[in-house]
Amino acid sequence: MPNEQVKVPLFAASEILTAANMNISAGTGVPVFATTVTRDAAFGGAGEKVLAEGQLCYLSSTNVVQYYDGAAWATLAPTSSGLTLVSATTIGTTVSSVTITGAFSATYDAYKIVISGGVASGSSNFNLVFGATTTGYVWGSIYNNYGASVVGGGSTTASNIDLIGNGTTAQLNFNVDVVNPFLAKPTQVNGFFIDPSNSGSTRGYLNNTTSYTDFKITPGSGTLTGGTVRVYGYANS
Amino acid sequence: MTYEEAVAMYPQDATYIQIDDVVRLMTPAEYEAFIQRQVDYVPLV
Repeated sequence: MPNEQVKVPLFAASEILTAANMNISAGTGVPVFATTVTRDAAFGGAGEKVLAEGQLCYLSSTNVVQYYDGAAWATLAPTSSGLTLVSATTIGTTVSSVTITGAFSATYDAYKIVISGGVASGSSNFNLVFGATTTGYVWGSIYNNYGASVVGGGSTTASNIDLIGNGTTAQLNFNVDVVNPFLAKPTQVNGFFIDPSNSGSTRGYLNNTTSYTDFKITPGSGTLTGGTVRVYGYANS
Repeated sequence: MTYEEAVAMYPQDATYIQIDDVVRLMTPAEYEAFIQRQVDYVPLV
């Protein structure tokens, strides 16, 4: 029998407790409701328990356990997170580029892409493209070599977003926020490059309204070995 | 880096392309583009 119920019964003195009564609540432990509407309707009516602090429930519509704090319902579990791991991909040995497919979807509007671990075959800047698009990118970067004057660079006619990460024989650096890749809107990118000699930040913009699910990271020279590409989605709500 | 240096440093049978968890050797055209990228590379920073 389904667990969902429409009332939380209240028993009077000398009332007969039937099997059907026992199968409500007692059979599930925590009362189960289809939605918040059926939950709210199950308390306080004739023959129903009056809602009070400490009451628990489970909602089938959202798969959460909630408790009533005396004034409102609050979600107990699962706890929601603002950042959710979408994928984790281990980088192979001496690869010239890494493409991640199915990274972007309607579930999230904004993403964080992080590479940890791994090495490059030499010092190299990384570039980023979305899908198979090789036109319409603009990017700008501000950087210095630790103590020297700040300088900048960029392009208004780029085939990718360059300087969005970097690698050396000791480490890979890729820590990028991507906004709107799946939406039919221009895609915005914000990242950094960091190594023992330089640091800087790069912003990029893909000027079209294409919806993307994939991205590719390519070192300007050389190859990558090891490390993990992780994609996280920022919760929309 | 010269073309010959790039080929010596990155042999075609030991340089790969990765798509998700699949790592494969490059096609001749992909390898040619990769080698040319090494030749043309100018560090921006």
